[in-house]
Amino acid sequence: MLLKGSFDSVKSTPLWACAGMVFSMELHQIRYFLALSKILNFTAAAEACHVSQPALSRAISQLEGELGGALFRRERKLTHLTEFGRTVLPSLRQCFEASQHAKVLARSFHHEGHAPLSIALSRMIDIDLLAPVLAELGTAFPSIEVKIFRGSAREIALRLKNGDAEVAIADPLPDEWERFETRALFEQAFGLLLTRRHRLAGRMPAALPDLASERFLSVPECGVIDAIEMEMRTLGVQTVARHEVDAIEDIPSLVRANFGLGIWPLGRPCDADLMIGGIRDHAMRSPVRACTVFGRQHSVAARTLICLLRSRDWSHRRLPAPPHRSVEHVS
Amino acid sequence: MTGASLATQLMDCTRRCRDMDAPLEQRLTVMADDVRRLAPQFAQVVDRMVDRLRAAGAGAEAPGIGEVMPPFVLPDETGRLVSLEELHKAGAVVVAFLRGHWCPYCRITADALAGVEPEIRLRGGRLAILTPEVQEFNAALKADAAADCPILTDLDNGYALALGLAIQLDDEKRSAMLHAGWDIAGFHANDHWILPIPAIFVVDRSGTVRGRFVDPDYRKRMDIEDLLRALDTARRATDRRR
Repeated sequence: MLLKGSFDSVKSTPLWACAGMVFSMELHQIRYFLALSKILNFTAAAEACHVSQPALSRAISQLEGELGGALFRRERKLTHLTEFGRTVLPSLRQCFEASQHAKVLARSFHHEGHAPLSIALSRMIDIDLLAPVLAELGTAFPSIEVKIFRGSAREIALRLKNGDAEVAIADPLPDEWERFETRALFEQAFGLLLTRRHRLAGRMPAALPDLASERFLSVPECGVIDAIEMEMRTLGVQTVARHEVDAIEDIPSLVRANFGLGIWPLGRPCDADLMIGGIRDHAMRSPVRACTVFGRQHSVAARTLICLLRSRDWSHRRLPAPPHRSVEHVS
Repeated sequence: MTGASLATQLMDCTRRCRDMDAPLEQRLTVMADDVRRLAPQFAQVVDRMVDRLRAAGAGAEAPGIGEVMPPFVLPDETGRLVSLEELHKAGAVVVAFLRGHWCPYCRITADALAGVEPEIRLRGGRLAILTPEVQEFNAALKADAAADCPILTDLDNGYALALGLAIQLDDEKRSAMLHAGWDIAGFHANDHWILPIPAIFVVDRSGTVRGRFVDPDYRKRMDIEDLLRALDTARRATDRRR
């Protein structure tokens, strides 16, 4: 069969063969560990988990035995996480949260009940990419009401902080607030939108120096133009001139009027009198991430959205792999 | 023996075992024997790992015969959410935890399960395969096994943990894998390095487990005849209740 073995790759050691140490984990052990890591007091953590203190201590010791290192330094008044404890905390917490979410989702799936969900979305992200995910969310939660806000990275960050948006699907956010929990989804690719009469139309992809005198046209806080500007600096050009429009739909008309070179998402249709070019040796790309605020109580709909986005096959959005990779080995 | 030639020989063996016309147990044994022959030191490491997991009672907490299988709602390889409840509409459900598309034993098992799926359906049952891998890789596993069943993403091993089937790999093994060029993080959309213990549950229509196979030794999987017998038990249990 043609597809069989298509994902084999020739590597020196197979994953399953280099089996080293593995640890089994119990849900209750992790629950106690997470409680103690927050409360930092054995007696109080045991109370919070509704177990006796010896039972909690025993479970923590078992987990430490399994993981092969002390998670806590036990001091009478100053119980605290060890370096090792801090290292394993994020993955154990995420696995635990996933198991909690799995439970809640199984309970609330297809059930009625008002479920508002506000999503902040970068202006350049093609809604067609998210439509199937939103449709699935609508099936899962028949009473869901979604609000979608489009904005710049700065506006999106503010909305997240204020709680006006529960989930963001966005370009990298400007200030890396430590409570932003981000997950990479895919990379969005862009091109230059220009008229077929443009002086560079016959010379695409354009060489960077040819663009030094051009004016760019995009939505506010465009990371793609920032990246072009960074490259221009190596040529001694300090800044690139840019126009900003709030609505991406306004870009084609302005390009047509020779107002500038548009920054245009690849895959988004454009009229026949316009063309999409690129820049030689410069990938116009921007990562798209899902972002929430750590520590807030998230709705089951929001968690399901993140789960669907992370699980989704974005491989068609990825840079093509170098040809020497994923070779079917001939026996 | 160079690493590259060993890996190549193991891949050939995987394909040979996957396509072999023999009972699953025999196919897995041939695979394991080939590993032992080609890479005795690897096989020993795996033996030690399995001993350790057995000693720790890994997987013992997973639902047993007569116990209730917790419900799940997980996205399949196309992004559609599939619930255990929905799968139960036809009758009993075979829930199979696999480690992922990269694992030779899981590829062989997926192929065997796909092969027996028509018989599962004849008995009014449905098959669902669960892995911690995202859709792209579940689609690859599905194509590799020419399977007709949904392959579901148990993201971050949440459902596996709820069943006591999650195991974590340590730093040493992580770096060994990364060194070998296997980015399991890329398959899982996280960098937790947590895997499920492979397992198969046969769940009757009321959600009660009627067949169960959990073994920390990932080279051993449920016998297909046992699986079909458990399905018959599940159907009888449902009929009695009517």
